[in-house]
Amino acid sequence: MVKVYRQGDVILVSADDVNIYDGWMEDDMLIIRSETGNAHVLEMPVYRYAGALYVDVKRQSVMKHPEHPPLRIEPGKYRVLTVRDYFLNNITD
Amino acid sequence: MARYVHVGIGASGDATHVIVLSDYANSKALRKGMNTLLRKYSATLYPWIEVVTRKFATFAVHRYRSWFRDYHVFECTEAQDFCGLYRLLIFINDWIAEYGRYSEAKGIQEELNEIIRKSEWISDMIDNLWNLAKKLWELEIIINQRIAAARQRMFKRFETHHKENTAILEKYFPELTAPVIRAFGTHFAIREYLENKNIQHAPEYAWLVHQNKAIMILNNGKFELLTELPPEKIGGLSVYADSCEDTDKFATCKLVTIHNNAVLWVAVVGVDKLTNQRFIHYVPSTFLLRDVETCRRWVLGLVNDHGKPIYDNVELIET
Repeated sequence: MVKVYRQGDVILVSADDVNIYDGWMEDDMLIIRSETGNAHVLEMPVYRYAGALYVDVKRQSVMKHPEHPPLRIEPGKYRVLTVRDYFLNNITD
Repeated sequence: MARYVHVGIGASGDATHVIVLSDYANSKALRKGMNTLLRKYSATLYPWIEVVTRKFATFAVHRYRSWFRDYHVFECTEAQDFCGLYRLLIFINDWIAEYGRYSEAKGIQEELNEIIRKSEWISDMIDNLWNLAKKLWELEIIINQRIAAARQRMFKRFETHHKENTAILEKYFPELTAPVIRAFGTHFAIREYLENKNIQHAPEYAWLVHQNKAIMILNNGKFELLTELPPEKIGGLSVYADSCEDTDKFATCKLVTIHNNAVLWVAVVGVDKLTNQRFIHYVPSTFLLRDVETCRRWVLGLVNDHGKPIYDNVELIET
């Protein structure tokens, strides 16, 4: 079972089989700013591994954002992603 | 008509070749201005060119090596029209590249292989290739007629679905029932407009309008179309809501925008009912006929560019 959490434009995909500790800890808190200027905040350590961002949720936690209902996250490792846009993600000169 | 055709074949691992027509029989033909280039670097043409050239190698009037390619020079006469032969091969190759994927073209490559294998004389090969080319012209008409009919059916479907989704559009996206279209002369003007409105990704959207003729953006909570099309061509622009969904958390619609019978792009627009935030995300054109939920799942990274789930057994928790 793959758990996928979404709050606004931020997506967390479960990645328990990834050994994120082989990377490095980038921050002790996940903060992602949305287009409105407000931030999605999850107070759990953030790791960078193989070019991707992960959050290590050690206990049940809540991701908060002023404009979204709080999102309860179960313990586990999650890859941090944002919503896709085919044009913006593939724009070329 | 040129007197000679020069056929340069690279090594098999290279798969490149050069075919030029010239009045010179020697390597002077490769100099600038001394030839008419027929084809260069077409990997799909390579196997046929190599087989035909080796088959008729004894008819070559000259051979030389240049830029890691072996050139055979054939004379183009009425009796042995090598120029015509290679022109036919190039035409058939290009036809297969354009139409080979359609069901009507099934067996054409095998037919070409058979002609090349069985024709012992150049005149036989040219006659057989001509007959094949005539068959391909007829098939092309049939294929284009079928494509045009399918395209009309697709546009009819968009119109029908748009009418069915009118209620959702009027409730959540009333401006999409008659979209505001803003026309600009250049993408610099569009960029200036977007920056003045504090739209995020202003330079990218301005460039996207330039590439795609028209783009929809969210301006102060309202959707509007930006275009570089001149006023007389804007009438050909149409936006259809092909598929919509209304749940307790959000309302979404899949939009398809068409200009003069060509699909420009596919996008998902929506409103998050919990936060009252609106959004627009563009999806690949492979989702042209998909439902809005599949498109939304692509935006969330749950399906690939062809709508197939990326993960097995997904539990999606959203707020």
